[in-house]
Amino acid sequence: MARIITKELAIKIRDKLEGRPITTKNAVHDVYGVYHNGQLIAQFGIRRGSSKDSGHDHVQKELNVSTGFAKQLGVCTKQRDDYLRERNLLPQLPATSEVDGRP
Amino acid sequence: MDEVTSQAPEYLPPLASPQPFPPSGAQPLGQMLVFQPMPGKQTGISFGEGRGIFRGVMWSPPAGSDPFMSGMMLTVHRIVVESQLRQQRWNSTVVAMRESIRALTSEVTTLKCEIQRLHKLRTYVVPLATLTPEPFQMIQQVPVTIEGDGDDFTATFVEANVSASGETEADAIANFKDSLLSTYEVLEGASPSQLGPLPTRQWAILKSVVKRAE
Repeated sequence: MARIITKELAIKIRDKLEGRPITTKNAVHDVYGVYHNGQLIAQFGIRRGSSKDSGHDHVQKELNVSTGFAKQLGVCTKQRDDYLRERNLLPQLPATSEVDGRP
Repeated sequence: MDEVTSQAPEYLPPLASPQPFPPSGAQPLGQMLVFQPMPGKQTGISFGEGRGIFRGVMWSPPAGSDPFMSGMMLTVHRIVVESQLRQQRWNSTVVAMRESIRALTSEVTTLKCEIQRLHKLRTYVVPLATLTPEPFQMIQQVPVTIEGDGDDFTATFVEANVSASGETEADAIANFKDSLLSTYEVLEGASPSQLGPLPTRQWAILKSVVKRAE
Protein backbone atom coordinates (compact mmCIF):
# COMPACT_ATOMS: atom_id res chain seq x y z
CA MET A 1 0.00 0.00 0.00
CA ALA A 2 1.01 3.54 -0.12
CA ARG A 3 1.93 3.79 3.53
CA ILE A 4 -0.77 6.26 4.40
CA ILE A 5 -0.81 5.15 8.01
CA THR A 6 2.72 4.67 9.29
CA LYS A 7 3.68 3.19 12.62
CA GLU A 8 4.22 6.71 13.92
CA LEU A 9 0.65 7.65 12.99
CA ALA A 10 -0.65 4.36 14.39
CA ILE A 11 0.91 5.19 17.75
CA LYS A 12 -0.68 8.64 17.67
CA ILE A 13 -4.03 7.02 16.87
CA ARG A 14 -3.57 4.63 19.78
CA ASP A 15 -2.88 7.53 22.12
CA LYS A 16 -5.78 9.55 20.75
CA LEU A 17 -8.21 6.66 21.19
CA GLU A 18 -6.77 5.87 24.61
CA GLY A 19 -5.97 2.35 23.46
CA ARG A 20 -5.12 -0.07 26.25
CA PRO A 21 -2.69 -2.91 25.72
CA ILE A 22 -4.24 -6.34 25.60
CA THR A 23 -2.06 -9.29 26.53
CA THR A 24 -2.06 -11.95 23.82
CA LYS A 25 0.28 -14.61 22.55
CA ASN A 26 0.71 -12.53 19.43
CA ALA A 27 4.37 -12.50 18.49
CA VAL A 28 4.13 -9.91 15.79
CA HIS A 29 1.82 -7.20 17.06
CA ASP A 30 1.23 -5.29 20.23
CA VAL A 31 -2.55 -5.41 20.46
CA TYR A 32 -4.52 -2.46 21.80
CA GLY A 33 -8.18 -2.31 22.72
CA VAL A 34 -10.39 0.75 22.49
CA TYR A 35 -13.02 0.84 25.22
CA HIS A 36 -16.19 2.85 25.69
CA ASN A 37 -18.54 2.50 28.67
CA GLY A 38 -16.65 -0.57 29.79
CA GLN A 39 -17.09 -2.33 26.46
CA LEU A 40 -14.43 -3.23 23.96
CA ILE A 41 -15.39 -1.41 20.79
CA ALA A 42 -12.34 -2.12 18.63
CA GLN A 43 -8.90 -3.63 18.73
CA PHE A 44 -5.91 -3.16 16.52
CA GLY A 45 -2.29 -4.18 16.34
CA ILE A 46 0.93 -2.22 15.99
CA ARG A 47 3.82 -4.21 14.59
CA ARG A 48 6.61 -4.80 17.04
CA GLY A 49 10.13 -3.90 16.12
CA SER A 50 9.18 -2.15 12.91
CA SER A 51 10.52 1.26 11.95
CA LYS A 52 8.37 4.33 12.52
CA ASP A 53 7.87 4.61 8.76
CA SER A 54 6.64 1.06 8.32
CA GLY A 55 3.21 0.69 6.78
CA HIS A 56 0.24 0.20 9.13
CA ASP A 57 -2.55 0.55 6.63
CA HIS A 58 -4.41 -2.24 8.37
CA VAL A 59 -5.24 -0.01 11.34
CA GLN A 60 -8.15 1.80 9.70
CA LYS A 61 -9.66 -1.52 8.67
CA GLU A 62 -9.50 -2.88 12.19
CA LEU A 63 -10.94 0.37 13.54
CA ASN A 64 -13.67 0.17 10.90
CA VAL A 65 -13.14 3.71 9.63
CA SER A 66 -11.99 5.18 6.35
CA THR A 67 -8.35 5.79 5.59
CA GLY A 68 -8.96 9.54 5.57
CA PHE A 69 -10.62 9.44 8.99
CA ALA A 70 -7.80 7.35 10.45
CA LYS A 71 -5.24 9.77 9.08
CA GLN A 72 -7.12 12.70 10.59
CA LEU A 73 -7.13 10.87 13.89
CA GLY A 74 -3.39 10.59 13.61
CA VAL A 75 -2.73 14.19 12.65
CA CYS A 76 -4.89 15.71 15.36
CA THR A 77 -7.89 17.08 13.50
CA LYS A 78 -10.14 14.28 14.84
CA GLN A 79 -10.53 13.29 18.45
CA ARG A 80 -11.72 10.24 20.34
CA ASP A 81 -15.27 11.63 20.50
CA ASP A 82 -15.25 12.02 16.72
CA TYR A 83 -14.32 8.36 16.43
CA LEU A 84 -17.13 7.35 18.79
CA ARG A 85 -19.57 9.45 16.78
CA GLU A 86 -18.26 7.95 13.56
CA ARG A 87 -19.03 4.53 14.98
CA ASN A 88 -22.46 5.71 16.20
CA LEU A 89 -21.48 5.18 19.82
CA LEU A 90 -22.11 8.80 20.70
CA PRO A 91 -25.03 10.95 19.53
CA GLN A 92 -24.24 12.99 16.47
CA LEU A 93 -23.67 16.70 16.92
CA PRO A 94 -26.56 18.87 15.73
CA ALA A 95 -26.02 20.55 12.43
CA THR A 96 -24.64 24.11 12.56
CA SER A 97 -27.90 25.66 11.36
CA GLU A 98 -29.81 24.06 14.28
CA VAL A 99 -27.31 25.47 16.75
CA ASP A 100 -27.77 28.88 15.28
CA GLY A 101 -31.52 28.52 15.53
CA ARG A 102 -31.88 28.93 11.79
CA PRO A 103 -34.05 26.55 9.82
CA MET B 1 -9.09 21.71 -49.76
CA ASP B 2 -12.76 22.66 -49.83
CA GLU B 3 -13.61 19.53 -47.89
CA VAL B 4 -11.14 20.39 -45.19
CA THR B 5 -12.20 23.99 -44.84
CA SER B 6 -15.86 23.04 -44.79
CA GLN B 7 -15.09 20.85 -41.77
CA ALA B 8 -13.24 23.59 -39.95
CA PRO B 9 -14.21 23.79 -36.25
CA GLU B 10 -17.04 26.12 -35.43
CA TYR B 11 -14.98 28.13 -32.98
CA LEU B 12 -12.83 29.52 -35.77
CA PRO B 13 -13.80 33.10 -36.53
CA PRO B 14 -15.77 33.43 -39.73
CA LEU B 15 -13.76 34.73 -42.61
CA ALA B 16 -14.81 38.07 -43.87
CA SER B 17 -16.11 37.88 -47.35
CA PRO B 18 -13.88 39.61 -49.86
CA GLN B 19 -14.91 42.98 -50.98
CA PRO B 20 -16.25 43.08 -54.45
CA PHE B 21 -13.70 43.46 -57.07
CA PRO B 22 -12.88 46.07 -58.11
CA PRO B 23 -13.27 47.90 -54.77
CA SER B 24 -15.49 50.87 -54.49
CA GLY B 25 -12.60 53.33 -54.48
CA ALA B 26 -11.12 52.08 -57.71
CA GLN B 27 -11.90 53.75 -60.89
CA PRO B 28 -13.02 51.42 -63.59
CA LEU B 29 -11.69 53.98 -66.04
CA GLY B 30 -14.64 53.48 -68.24
CA GLN B 31 -13.85 49.93 -69.14
CA MET B 32 -12.58 47.12 -66.97
CA LEU B 33 -9.93 46.90 -64.29
CA VAL B 34 -6.87 44.86 -65.00
CA PHE B 35 -4.54 43.42 -62.48
CA GLN B 36 -0.92 42.74 -63.12
CA PRO B 37 0.99 40.92 -60.42
CA MET B 38 4.25 42.67 -59.63
CA PRO B 39 6.18 40.98 -56.81
CA GLY B 40 7.71 43.40 -54.33
CA LYS B 41 5.08 46.09 -54.51
CA GLN B 42 2.37 46.28 -51.93
CA THR B 43 -0.13 48.46 -53.51
CA GLY B 44 -3.34 46.89 -54.52
CA ILE B 45 -6.49 45.95 -52.76
CA SER B 46 -7.12 45.13 -49.16
CA PHE B 47 -9.90 42.67 -48.45
CA GLY B 48 -11.70 42.87 -45.13
CA GLU B 49 -9.57 42.68 -41.94
CA GLY B 50 -6.39 42.93 -43.93
CA ARG B 51 -6.94 39.60 -45.55
CA GLY B 52 -6.22 39.11 -49.15
CA ILE B 53 -3.56 41.78 -49.40
CA PHE B 54 -1.63 41.00 -52.47
CA ARG B 55 1.30 42.50 -54.17
CA GLY B 56 0.69 44.09 -57.46
CA VAL B 57 -0.35 47.18 -59.32
CA MET B 58 -3.71 48.08 -60.69
CA TRP B 59 -3.87 49.94 -63.78
CA SER B 60 -6.34 50.70 -66.40
CA PRO B 61 -5.89 48.95 -69.66
CA PRO B 62 -4.09 51.10 -72.10
CA ALA B 63 -6.05 52.35 -74.95
CA GLY B 64 -6.51 49.71 -77.50
CA SER B 65 -5.55 46.86 -75.21
CA ASP B 66 -7.08 43.50 -75.74
CA PRO B 67 -10.27 43.12 -73.65
CA PHE B 68 -9.78 39.34 -73.69
CA MET B 69 -6.37 39.62 -72.10
CA SER B 70 -7.75 42.05 -69.48
CA GLY B 71 -10.48 39.55 -68.63
CA MET B 72 -7.89 36.82 -68.28
CA MET B 73 -5.90 38.93 -65.88
CA LEU B 74 -9.01 39.57 -63.81
CA THR B 75 -9.71 35.85 -63.62
CA VAL B 76 -6.16 35.13 -62.54
CA HIS B 77 -6.47 37.74 -59.82
CA ARG B 78 -9.62 36.15 -58.48
CA ILE B 79 -7.96 32.75 -58.43
CA VAL B 80 -5.03 34.19 -56.50
CA VAL B 81 -7.31 35.83 -53.92
CA GLU B 82 -9.40 32.71 -53.48
CA SER B 83 -6.25 30.65 -53.01
CA GLN B 84 -5.06 33.04 -50.34
CA LEU B 85 -8.36 32.78 -48.50
CA ARG B 86 -8.26 29.00 -48.67
CA GLN B 87 -4.71 29.04 -47.44
CA GLN B 88 -5.75 31.13 -44.46
CA ARG B 89 -8.62 28.81 -43.63
CA TRP B 90 -6.28 25.87 -43.93
CA ASN B 91 -3.74 27.57 -41.67
CA SER B 92 -6.43 28.17 -39.05
CA THR B 93 -7.47 24.53 -39.26
CA VAL B 94 -3.87 23.36 -38.93
CA VAL B 95 -3.36 25.58 -35.87
CA ALA B 96 -6.55 24.23 -34.28
CA MET B 97 -5.49 20.65 -35.07
CA ARG B 98 -2.05 21.28 -33.59
CA GLU B 99 -3.65 22.51 -30.37
CA SER B 100 -5.96 19.50 -30.29
CA ILE B 101 -3.02 17.13 -30.80
CA ARG B 102 -1.10 18.86 -28.01
CA ALA B 103 -4.07 18.50 -25.65
CA LEU B 104 -4.49 14.84 -26.64
CA THR B 105 -0.80 14.16 -26.09
CA SER B 106 -1.05 15.65 -22.62
CA GLU B 107 -4.12 13.51 -21.83
CA VAL B 108 -2.41 10.37 -23.12
CA THR B 109 0.62 11.09 -20.91
CA THR B 110 -1.63 11.52 -17.87
CA LEU B 111 -3.45 8.28 -18.67
CA LYS B 112 -0.15 6.43 -19.13
CA CYS B 113 0.95 7.54 -15.65
CA GLU B 114 -2.39 6.45 -14.20
CA ILE B 115 -2.16 3.05 -15.91
CA GLN B 116 1.36 2.56 -14.56
CA ARG B 117 0.15 3.45 -11.08
CA LEU B 118 -2.79 1.05 -11.33
CA HIS B 119 -0.51 -1.62 -12.74
CA LYS B 120 1.65 -1.34 -9.65
CA LEU B 121 -1.36 -1.60 -7.36
CA ARG B 122 -2.17 -5.24 -6.96
CA THR B 123 -5.32 -6.50 -5.33
CA TYR B 124 -6.30 -10.12 -5.24
CA VAL B 125 -7.95 -12.62 -2.96
CA VAL B 126 -6.34 -15.76 -1.60
CA PRO B 127 -8.14 -18.44 0.39
CA LEU B 128 -6.68 -19.04 3.82
CA ALA B 129 -7.03 -22.72 4.64
CA THR B 130 -4.60 -23.46 7.45
CA LEU B 131 -3.23 -21.88 10.60
CA THR B 132 -0.49 -24.46 11.13
CA PRO B 133 1.65 -24.56 13.28
CA GLU B 134 -0.68 -22.70 15.64
CA PRO B 135 -3.01 -24.87 17.72
CA PHE B 136 -6.02 -23.69 15.77
CA GLN B 137 -7.93 -25.10 12.85
CA MET B 138 -9.85 -23.44 10.10
CA ILE B 139 -13.44 -24.67 9.98
CA GLN B 140 -13.69 -23.24 6.52
CA GLN B 141 -11.50 -21.27 4.19
CA VAL B 142 -11.65 -17.51 4.50
CA PRO B 143 -11.04 -15.10 1.65
CA VAL B 144 -8.08 -12.85 2.41
CA THR B 145 -7.78 -9.75 0.27
CA ILE B 146 -4.19 -8.80 -0.49
CA GLU B 147 -3.58 -5.21 -1.48
CA GLY B 148 -0.16 -3.85 -2.26
CA ASP B 149 1.97 -1.61 -4.43
CA GLY B 150 5.30 -3.40 -4.22
CA ASP B 151 6.51 -1.64 -1.05
CA ASP B 152 3.83 -2.60 1.42
CA PHE B 153 1.04 -5.15 1.50
CA THR B 154 -2.09 -5.48 3.54
CA ALA B 155 -3.96 -8.73 4.10
CA THR B 156 -7.58 -8.32 5.17
CA PHE B 157 -10.50 -10.57 6.08
CA VAL B 158 -13.03 -7.90 5.25
CA GLU B 159 -16.09 -9.47 6.88
CA ALA B 160 -14.40 -9.73 10.26
CA ASN B 161 -12.40 -6.47 10.14
CA VAL B 162 -9.20 -8.37 10.73
CA SER B 163 -6.19 -7.01 8.91
CA ALA B 164 -2.40 -6.91 8.99
CA SER B 165 0.41 -5.32 7.00
CA GLY B 166 3.76 -6.55 5.80
CA GLU B 167 6.56 -5.66 3.47
CA THR B 168 5.85 -8.66 1.25
CA GLU B 169 2.73 -10.67 0.50
CA ALA B 170 4.09 -13.54 2.60
CA ASP B 171 4.81 -11.19 5.50
CA ALA B 172 1.36 -9.71 5.29
CA ILE B 173 -0.27 -13.17 5.33
CA ALA B 174 1.89 -14.36 8.23
CA ASN B 175 1.08 -11.21 10.17
CA PHE B 176 -2.56 -11.63 9.26
CA LYS B 177 -2.65 -15.12 10.76
CA ASP B 178 -1.14 -13.70 13.92
CA SER B 179 -3.69 -10.92 14.01
CA LEU B 180 -6.58 -13.31 13.31
CA LEU B 181 -5.61 -15.55 16.20
CA SER B 182 -4.98 -12.73 18.66
CA THR B 183 -8.39 -11.25 17.80
CA TYR B 184 -9.91 -14.70 18.29
CA GLU B 185 -8.22 -15.10 21.67
CA VAL B 186 -9.26 -11.67 22.91
CA LEU B 187 -12.87 -12.12 21.87
CA GLU B 188 -12.99 -15.69 23.14
CA GLY B 189 -11.89 -14.54 26.59
CA ALA B 190 -14.44 -11.73 26.86
CA SER B 191 -18.03 -12.07 27.99
CA PRO B 192 -20.68 -10.89 25.49
CA SER B 193 -21.57 -7.95 27.74
CA GLN B 194 -18.00 -6.66 27.47
CA LEU B 195 -18.14 -6.50 23.70
CA GLY B 196 -19.36 -3.58 21.65
CA PRO B 197 -21.19 -3.98 18.34
CA LEU B 198 -18.09 -4.47 16.17
CA PRO B 199 -16.35 -7.07 18.39
CA THR B 200 -19.67 -8.91 18.79
CA ARG B 201 -19.98 -9.18 15.03
CA GLN B 202 -16.30 -10.14 14.73
CA TRP B 203 -16.74 -12.92 17.26
CA ALA B 204 -19.82 -14.27 15.51
CA ILE B 205 -17.83 -14.52 12.28
CA LEU B 206 -14.56 -15.76 13.75
CA LYS B 207 -16.08 -18.59 15.74
CA SER B 208 -17.69 -19.86 12.58
CA VAL B 209 -14.37 -20.07 10.73
CA VAL B 210 -11.77 -20.86 13.42
CA LYS B 211 -11.67 -23.32 16.29
CA ARG B 212 -9.05 -24.57 18.69
CA ALA B 213 -7.34 -27.77 17.61
CA GLU B 214 -8.27 -30.81 19.73
